[in-house]
Amino acid sequence: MNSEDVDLIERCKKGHAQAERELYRRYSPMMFGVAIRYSNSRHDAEDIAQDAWVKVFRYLKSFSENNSFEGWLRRIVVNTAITHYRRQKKHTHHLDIDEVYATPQDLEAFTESDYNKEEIEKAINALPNGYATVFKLYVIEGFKHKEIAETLEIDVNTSKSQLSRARKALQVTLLNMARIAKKKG
Amino acid sequence: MSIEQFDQYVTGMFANETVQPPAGAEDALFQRMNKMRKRKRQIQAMGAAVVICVGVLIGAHVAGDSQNGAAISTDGSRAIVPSTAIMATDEIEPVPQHENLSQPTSAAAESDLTVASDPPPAGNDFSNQDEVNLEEKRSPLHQIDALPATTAAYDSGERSLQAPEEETWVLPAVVKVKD
Repeated sequence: MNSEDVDLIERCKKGHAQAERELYRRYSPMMFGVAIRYSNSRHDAEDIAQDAWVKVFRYLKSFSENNSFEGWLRRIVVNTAITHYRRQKKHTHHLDIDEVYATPQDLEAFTESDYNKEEIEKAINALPNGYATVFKLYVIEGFKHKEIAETLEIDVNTSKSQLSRARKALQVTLLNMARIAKKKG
Repeated sequence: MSIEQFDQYVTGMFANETVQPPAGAEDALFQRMNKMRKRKRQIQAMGAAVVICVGVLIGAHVAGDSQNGAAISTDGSRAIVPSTAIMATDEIEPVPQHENLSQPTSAAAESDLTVASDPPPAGNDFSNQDEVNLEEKRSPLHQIDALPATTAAYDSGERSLQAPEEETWVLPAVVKVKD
């Protein structure tokens, strides 16, 4: 964390309104990006991001400068999103989909150059909510299985198995998308 | 592509991803924050007011209790007044005692001053002059003791003594005349 951020956080802790606005402007694009990733709509993402910011300013005094501020913010957004969907009972973390296995040929055929970000995003969003959440927390946010288990209130082994299944399901989805694209082409 | 490679590929795609929030989001957030802080301050002020009110009520209750059993004198010390005495004073008509007492008290004070200004007796022998001085020292108290009692009890007693003089008592009598 750079000295400018440390100074900004200190001023926010002292209750400077201008510093709070500055902090918001600096980190709100990142926060909103994370909120959109874990929400079903842009409107939901706005609600999640606002709730997350309220928590940020409420608990900023407890933040220690020794930790990563961006990581702390990400965790707050993710937890807020999960709480939001848990409250609405729209989100389930226990999966009930058919087992999906990628064949060795599929994996060999899978090359990174075949897909852009939008396609990957689409494929992730096509996953069941539980798979998608575990995958995003582990691969994109960099959470450990223990942290995922605590956040989602599931067992560590469940987190591991869901991640493994999510990977395979995602690769199969991407290959299917590629095949459809080839046929159309 | 291995699992690790796939993970890195996806991680790299979403690293440092930013999305600009809608224009009104900042103002909406800070308006909400201000409302919350204002409400918090109001709650704190109400809490403080409640604490003060409770303190005042407790203080008034304690003061009320102490006034029932104790009277505060002019010099700040408390004198305990028995409840029976309070009841008695309620029944008695107030009598202006200050007028009667003011004159002798001031005289007593004067005599006290004169006594105090007298030089101390020389030597250890206890002479007649010392006895006179002692008498003078005692005199204010004696004068107070000698004052006419003007309490209600005394008044009522005087009235009872004077009553027979105004009334005519007729006793039944039988006179027997012996031959």
